[in-house]
Amino acid sequence: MAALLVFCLPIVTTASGGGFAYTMYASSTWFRLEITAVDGRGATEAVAPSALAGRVSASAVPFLAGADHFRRTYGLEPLRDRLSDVARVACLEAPEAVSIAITLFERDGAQDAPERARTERVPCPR
Amino acid sequence: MPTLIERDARALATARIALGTVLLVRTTALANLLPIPLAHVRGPLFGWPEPGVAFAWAGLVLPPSVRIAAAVVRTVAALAFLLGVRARTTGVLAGVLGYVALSQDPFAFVFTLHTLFLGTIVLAIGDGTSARALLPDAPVSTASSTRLLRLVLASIYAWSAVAKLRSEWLSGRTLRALAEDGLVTPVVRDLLGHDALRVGAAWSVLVVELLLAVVFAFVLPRWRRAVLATALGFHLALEVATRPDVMSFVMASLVVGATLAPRRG
Repeated sequence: MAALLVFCLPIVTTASGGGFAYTMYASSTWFRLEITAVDGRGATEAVAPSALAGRVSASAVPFLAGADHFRRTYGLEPLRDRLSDVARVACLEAPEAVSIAITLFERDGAQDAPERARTERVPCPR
Repeated sequence: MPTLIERDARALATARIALGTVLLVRTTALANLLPIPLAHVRGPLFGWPEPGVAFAWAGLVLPPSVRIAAAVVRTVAALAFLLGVRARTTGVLAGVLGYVALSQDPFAFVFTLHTLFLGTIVLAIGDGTSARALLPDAPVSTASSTRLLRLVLASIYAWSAVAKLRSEWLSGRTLRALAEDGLVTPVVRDLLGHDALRVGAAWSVLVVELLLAVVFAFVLPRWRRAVLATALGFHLALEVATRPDVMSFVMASLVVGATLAPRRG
């Protein structure tokens, strides 16, 4: 029991990008989101992350409202782990879209730190 | 005269009462009465259904009626845990149902709630339920219960310290960011404006966490009072500096259970 609580759970969840390893406010991350809707003719249209804020739970709003531009946070795991789910919410905001591409841009700590980007694509239900 | 084992069981029971109080307050609308902005509960109970997509763990979205029932049962179980009514069962139930509520809204995950639910389970499965209780459980092994609690505390401090072993923290940049974002109290924000104080504070937090991790894991029994004073002083300082939700109260409750040995007689 002790080994499970003390070592295994934090190690496993940290390795998988989760957050059970008590990283409490030890580091900051700058992030922004780019969301693009693609319609049946291949045309693209940007979806503002802030526009999704009204469709998600209150706890998710800080990760979306204002995420059009870089902003700072101290724990990005929930957003990193659920990019595809956020993209599915964007499908509701762009009813003509056949798919959504969502890209999370991140910088560790300082504003001028190297930028990382990860993109997820999901089909929208028709 | 109570034996050391009996005194440790009482210390665990004291921790159960303290943590049970924190659990009951932090997971109900009572939390909104606290002067702590981060300790906010939407709805009457933590985990109450809200409008909007909530992104449940693994897509396992529970129906609103189940979430309401789970929140009500958790609150009743938390009260029973606090009062010591079959606290082994009710504490585990309250802790598990706390994680169920967290699973439904991962964006609401905060380490305070994780530690609160984990601490509740750890105290519930130990001998803190066999003393100072209305309906006590039979003791199992007080020494083992205390050892488990100390290891969990050591783990919390150790992982927290490991996360700080990076240049951003050690250079004081994280503390400057926290100050810029208004996540520290005004007095501390002014102090953190000085480079030397900011770096000193960052290193001090790291050193104290490493020290507490080692002490709780290996050498506590000989230094109970010193460890109790150090840990409580550390959390009091964090509380004054940052108001980190109810984390200070959660940790203080667990520290008391792991260190407090009531006076003889």
